[in-house]
Amino acid sequence: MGLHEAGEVISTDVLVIGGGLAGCMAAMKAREHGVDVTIMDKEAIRRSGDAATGMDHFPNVAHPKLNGITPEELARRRGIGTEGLVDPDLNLVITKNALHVLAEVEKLGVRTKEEDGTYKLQSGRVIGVHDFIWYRGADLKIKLAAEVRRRKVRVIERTMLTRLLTSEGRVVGATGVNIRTGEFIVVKAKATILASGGAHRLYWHPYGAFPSNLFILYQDPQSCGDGTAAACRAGAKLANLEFAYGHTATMGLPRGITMFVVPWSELRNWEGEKILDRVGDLVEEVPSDPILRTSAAVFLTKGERLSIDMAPHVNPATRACWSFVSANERPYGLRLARLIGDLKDIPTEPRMWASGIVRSIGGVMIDETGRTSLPGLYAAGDVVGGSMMSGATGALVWGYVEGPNAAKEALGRPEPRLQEEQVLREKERVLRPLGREKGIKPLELENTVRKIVTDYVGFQKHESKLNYCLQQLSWLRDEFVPQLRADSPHELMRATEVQSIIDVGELHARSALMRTESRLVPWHYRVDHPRRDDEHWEKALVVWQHDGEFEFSVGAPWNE
Amino acid sequence: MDYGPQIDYEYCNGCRACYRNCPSDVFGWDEEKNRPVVNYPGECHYCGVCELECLQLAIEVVPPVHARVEYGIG
Repeated sequence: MGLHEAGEVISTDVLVIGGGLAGCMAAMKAREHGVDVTIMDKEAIRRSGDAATGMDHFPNVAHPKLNGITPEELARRRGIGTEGLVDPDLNLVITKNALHVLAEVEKLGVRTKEEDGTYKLQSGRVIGVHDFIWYRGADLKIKLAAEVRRRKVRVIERTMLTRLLTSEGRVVGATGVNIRTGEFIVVKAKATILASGGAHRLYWHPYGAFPSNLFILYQDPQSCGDGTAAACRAGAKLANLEFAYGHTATMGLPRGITMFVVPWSELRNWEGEKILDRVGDLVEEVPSDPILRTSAAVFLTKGERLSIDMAPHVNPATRACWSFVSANERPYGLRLARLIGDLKDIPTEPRMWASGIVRSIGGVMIDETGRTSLPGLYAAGDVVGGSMMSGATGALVWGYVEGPNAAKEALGRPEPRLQEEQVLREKERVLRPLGREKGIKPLELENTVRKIVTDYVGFQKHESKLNYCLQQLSWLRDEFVPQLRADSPHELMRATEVQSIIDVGELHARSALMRTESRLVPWHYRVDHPRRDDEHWEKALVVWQHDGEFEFSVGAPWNE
Repeated sequence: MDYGPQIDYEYCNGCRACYRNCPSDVFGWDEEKNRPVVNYPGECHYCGVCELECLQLAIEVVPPVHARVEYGIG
């Protein structure tokens, strides 16, 4: 058997995995260096990733003449509360480059300025600092994708990553499978940029009817951790996977409404008390981030019925804001608002809501050039770990920084050689569920995995539950994964995904078990270790795989 | 299922915009009738891309029952 029997083999200089904001920006910038660039995307790049329906805000902007703050000072302020977990140098790369990437986006014709030529600045996640630019970015993704095509990037759509290929300690490309045809492809690359998004499909939605409960998320559910799992399997170092991204949300459809409601509403309990006024000292252990504070408040009330009262805050200004946010980033909110009747009538009962790993804080470690610990591999956007939550700005910045770096690296590299055996084994692994006549449907298995993660990792973590979770996940991997059955290429995608979800779930539970303290409540709250322990744990927890075993280290390079 | 994307075939002109752009691959393509079909409504995450892309206004994304109850939509 030869490689040609594995399927189509594409050879490229720079492979970009994922065509969201980070991936498109990376591909665009890499092309400026005259290299051959390929994007492999599970979706279609025009509407791929978390910015599929547009963006309304651009966070982490700093310029003394614009908002009275230097990039250095903003990076420092944004690091408050996550000391030790994140690399201050990465935060600085983001704040320093924010305005540069905004200029790139402006060149594509996205309207980032008001009609009078100024930016609309508002406070964001640092109290008192106007570091968010609000803009009409409904077409941001459409314009980026068009530019990617104009620059003649090779675009392979509806093709998901299944594994990163390695040879002599280097990443030399990736394998993928087309989710509509089932075709297996091999991409050989001199440099690879992983921009596959966060790992958002770990927890369980308690209301939605199956299988809707698996997909109703605040983030794009197609970003389910394929990249996180693949990077770990290939041997890359990851950090902070114990933190679960939970925020206060209304139960119905998070993509439509949640984040808008929280800042302008009053969180009250059933007796009408304002909750934030009485949550006591545990809330002091979370940073000043308003969304995280509100989540902690909801978490700590344990059991009473809460409500978010919008009515006192509905006025022409908030109505205008609602229309703006909906029109530019969350268009489904407009339909919901029409169906509901009026903004003030939105009946919202907040609950703690978890999706998966806290993006940008937990994920694949990079240095300030975007390189991971594996030669030949870069990581960009929400798949990154060890940085602040940086949203669209971080995604665009890492693409902007890494595209040129990867291109320059590729120019100096010889044609990579693939390990035939590795490719053929992967093809066999991925396609196996297609051939089975009897077996378990992938979404049914995913439902079980996510129920286990919700019940035994969850917000109230305890050693006994975490151990049980690990035991169950290991059993599912050994006994149930080999029974997976896919009746179509689309189902094969779900079958491939659930294997990554199990891997990421295991990393999440193992890391949570290791961190014997509570930090960033409610993102990591150990019932058996309820206090923050700065002496031992003001550090990142790093994990990597070596010879099939997980290894951990407490502390990352920036902690030394 | 009567939640997720609903296609009004009276207005659909078979342009494939929904099929090409749906992030979650919820739509399939009926080659015989040359029109989209909703294969996986349960995998819809209510982003609204199909509605935005459909220039014929032939698609409406209907919220599921649990969301209707939560938001008081009878």
